[in-house]
Amino acid sequence: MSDPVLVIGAGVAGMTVAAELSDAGIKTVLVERSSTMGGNALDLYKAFPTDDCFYCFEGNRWRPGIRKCFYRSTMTDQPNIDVRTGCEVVDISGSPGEFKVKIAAAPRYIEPKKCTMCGLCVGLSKAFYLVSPQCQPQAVVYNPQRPDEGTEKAERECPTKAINLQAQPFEETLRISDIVIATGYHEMKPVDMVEYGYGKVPNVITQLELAQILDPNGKSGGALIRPSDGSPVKNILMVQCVGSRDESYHPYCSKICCVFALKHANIVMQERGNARVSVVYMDIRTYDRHERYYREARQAGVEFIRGRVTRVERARDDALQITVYDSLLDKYLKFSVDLLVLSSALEPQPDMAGLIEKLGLSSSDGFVKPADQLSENEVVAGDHLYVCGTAAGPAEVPESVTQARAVVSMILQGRA
Amino acid sequence: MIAVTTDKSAALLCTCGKTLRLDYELLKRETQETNLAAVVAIHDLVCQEDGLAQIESLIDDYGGRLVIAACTSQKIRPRIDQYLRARGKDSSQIQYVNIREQSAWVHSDQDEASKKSAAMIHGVLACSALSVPLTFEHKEVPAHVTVIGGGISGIESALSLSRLGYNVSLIELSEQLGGHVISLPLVTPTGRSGREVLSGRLQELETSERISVMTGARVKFVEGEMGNFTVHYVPTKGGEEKKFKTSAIVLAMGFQEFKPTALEEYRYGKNPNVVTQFELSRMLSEENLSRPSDGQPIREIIMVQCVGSRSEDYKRDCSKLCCTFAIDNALETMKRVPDAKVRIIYMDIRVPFENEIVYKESREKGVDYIRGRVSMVWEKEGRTWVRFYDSLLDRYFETSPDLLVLSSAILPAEGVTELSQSLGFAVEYDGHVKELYGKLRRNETRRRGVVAVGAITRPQFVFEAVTDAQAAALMLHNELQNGKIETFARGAVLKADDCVGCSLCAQQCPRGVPLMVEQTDAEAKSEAQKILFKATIDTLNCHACGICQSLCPSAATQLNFLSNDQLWSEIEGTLDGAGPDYPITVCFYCEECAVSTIDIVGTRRMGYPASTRLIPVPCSGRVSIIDILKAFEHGASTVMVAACEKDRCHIGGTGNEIAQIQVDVAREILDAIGWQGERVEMFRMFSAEPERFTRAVNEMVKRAQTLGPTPVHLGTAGKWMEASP
Repeated sequence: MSDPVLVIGAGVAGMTVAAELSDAGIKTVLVERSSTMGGNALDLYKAFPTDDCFYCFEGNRWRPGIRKCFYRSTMTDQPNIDVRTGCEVVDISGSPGEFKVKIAAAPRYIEPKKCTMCGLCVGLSKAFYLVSPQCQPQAVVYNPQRPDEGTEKAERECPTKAINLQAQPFEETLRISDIVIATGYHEMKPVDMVEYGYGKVPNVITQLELAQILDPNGKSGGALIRPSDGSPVKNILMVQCVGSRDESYHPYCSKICCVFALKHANIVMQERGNARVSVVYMDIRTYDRHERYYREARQAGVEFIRGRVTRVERARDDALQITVYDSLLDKYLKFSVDLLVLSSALEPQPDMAGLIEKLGLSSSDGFVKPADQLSENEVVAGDHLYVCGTAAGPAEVPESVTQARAVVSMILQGRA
Repeated sequence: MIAVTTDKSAALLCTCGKTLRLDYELLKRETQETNLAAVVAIHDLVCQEDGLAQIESLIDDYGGRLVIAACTSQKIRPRIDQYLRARGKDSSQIQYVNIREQSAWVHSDQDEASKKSAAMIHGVLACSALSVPLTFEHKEVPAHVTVIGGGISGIESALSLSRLGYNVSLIELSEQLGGHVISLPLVTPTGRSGREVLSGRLQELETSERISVMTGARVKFVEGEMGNFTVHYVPTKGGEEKKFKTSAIVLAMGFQEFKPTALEEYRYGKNPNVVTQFELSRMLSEENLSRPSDGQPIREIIMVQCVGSRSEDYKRDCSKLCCTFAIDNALETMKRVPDAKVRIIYMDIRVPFENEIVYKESREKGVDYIRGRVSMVWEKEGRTWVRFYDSLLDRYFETSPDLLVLSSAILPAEGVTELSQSLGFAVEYDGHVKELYGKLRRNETRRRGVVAVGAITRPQFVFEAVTDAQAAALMLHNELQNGKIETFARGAVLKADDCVGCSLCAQQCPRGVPLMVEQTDAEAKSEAQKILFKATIDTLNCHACGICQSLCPSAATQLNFLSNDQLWSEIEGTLDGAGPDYPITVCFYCEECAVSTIDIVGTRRMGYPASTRLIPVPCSGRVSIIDILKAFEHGASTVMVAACEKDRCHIGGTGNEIAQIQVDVAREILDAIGWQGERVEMFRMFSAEPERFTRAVNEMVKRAQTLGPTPVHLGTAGKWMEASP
């Protein structure tokens, strides 16, 4: 019996790796920094290319059907998966096939397997909350920064004794055979790009933030409103390539932002009533069948302006005055909008460089590069080291899933 | 009236740590009064260690039939299954009732919620009484897979499968392996030629003992099913048709480049100096870059993007790869002819991720990019002339290049439709092989045991085709398990004696599982009555959606965990007490999108009326007209079917559409006999939008209150039968 496989990151890619390895009878330790699995996909609302809710997760032999809702992925109840939410990898030593991995765990205030989500603690104290009805593990979360008078009562009265307010952080070293990097991406927060006013001028948001506004499970119940005052949005301007294709930030193309933006433009135009959408772009990159989003956006009346935003000003009533250079007309245009949405670059997770260096991998613009470029094996990062999903560069959900399966395939091929 | 049975179930009611506002004394009493429960136990935490132990002892003591009324089975079932499996116990006769998310959490009136919970427990007990244990079965199939297509994705498939322990037959139409890739002078981002990218793999292919390669062979058709396919093929040079057995098929036929002869403005096929991008790739990789008309050196090239792509007349979508191909070829050309002038006329340059950096490099090296379109091409005094529009400068230009290169659309290889007829996979609107589900199941096709990889599914870069092949090998490995398949026989079981040979199941099964088999020794009273073909279903290949069951006219095929009698008993039991004084809405919900939506409605405590009875089905396609009418017969006032979104059926792809037809026909029948068709309605669920369910259920409850039950029954359910002489 060999040591378990370590999967770092429980987003779409990492969860798929763990589930597939588990089915193949291989033990997996799935480490996730945050309290719930799902990664960036948790905040997507609708995912392209199928436009159904992001919650979908693949079915398999033990979960028959083509796909299952995310909360039914039952990751916590699979015999071969050791789920470690609230944990981080702090050190890796040893040699390929025999790694020693040190994991730092945040205090485990709630035992996920014991929590029944009965809601008793949530009713007693504001320190307990549910990240999402679809969260995985299906368990409440405790915020130690917000204890109140009901907190200890909740601990006492929890029917399953799932709460332990005295929980302490701890470290543990595990023996690991293979490491799968599935740490995902980070949406760039363009605070340094003064021309857009992000973080300073109200009602300037990123696409991921727009997804949360459009989500019916979100604060506004899916109504398209201005964050500054909750008033309905009538005009939206979207800007592509914010921080991508830009030598000062990221020289690469983030690949999925065009589709992502037009998906939102179409939801706004087709399902959220009267708002108008304009998109400022350099090239519209709706590759392959995603061209459909571009066709539909044009049919729905989305306005496309080839050019760049040069200035954003806050006008009265928190409206935004935006100056755009139109390269086809060779003119400056003025727009007055309620919401400016920045299609911000997908960038590597902040601590990616450390992991790449520690494992002796090569990097492509901060993402993990394949070990042997010539072989075109994109998921093989090194000896007993694999990568999948957006840790290897911008990727769609289906690409992340396919890569995750390729990782498992390669691990099994190495062991057969 | 419930049919008398001797097979009572144990009933276990969970209080969720005494947090559920339900009258457990009432639940216990009513459950006992059904006469269907051998014992009624109440536990505070069924999902914890102590509760799991009680489940085990109830299974031991009462023969396996157990009804658990607790939270959503979606959460506890996997844990209970694991617990019992680890102890060698059979969990296949456990049935679940959701009294938390579907009752206590959504109804503020405790009496109403308790009444509803008791009715649903009653229904499930009636269903449980007819349950049969499912068996764990073993099946041996040949550990052999056939790969059709010897390009990069086919080669990688063969290698991956052979490393996983399978014998592989690799069939290639042409005389040479390597597909398009072998002719690429440069494969971005490797910086190397296609031949170099392939060389390691071709060597491994030669030395592998598990792979047999057949070039110059064409697959004509394939018979059979997963585990038992027969491939029929012919040599392309002519010769006898041959066949062999295989367990699964990998479609890896790749792409073909669109030949733009019909686009007359480009003069392709008439002017030899007008070539496609792939033809230029060949010239470059064969070191044969010269003007085709007279062999003179090339100094000036114009490349045109989106020839046939992004066009309503030819290919609506973007071909994805052509921008990168054009840039690669421009750079390769400039390596050979450093002072060459290359201009690329484009609409949008589409280069993903780091290909952007290669694009920028090409600009720095002097490749000229013109946003616009070519308006015409003509020949004058032995030269080729091109007129194009520059949309940034809003001007027309004329120039005379040595070579006009058309970045022509990428189309699926020929023969996809022909092969789909015998293999039963679905074809996408653009002629590529249709993936089972675009987000999570890209490599699988509609047909079980048939996967598709590489450019036959959509244009793909080389590294993507490689990943695809590796992933698809895993998907087949999951199915075939090295030829020793072990799985639960949970699905449709066909009684051949009852089959009338109508073939509806074979036509409508979303995964192509039922086969029509010729009856050679069929005994019949007369030749006229003899059934020539009958269906067979391998339960181990079944996806367990129940579509075949809802369509079968003779009840020959039924799910072994939800037979017709089981569902009808559940309908009857759950509607006990329904009638004019208590108008009830029955909701059949699929255990895919609908169950999730309903669970989330519960988790978010979104209230709705308690005069609702929820009955799960694996897929909405399991619900037949008869099931709907049975609900009315037993006193329901309205019936709703909650299913997945249009085109997004989770279990098989078409179940929700079949259900829609059943609902439509049921409405027509009700309308025809004057019983108001609006009693039945279909609703599409979406778990990110839980209010879809509450809106739907409120509407159907409103209708139930207005319409009341159908006139057939007098008083409460069933009494009309007793009342009529």
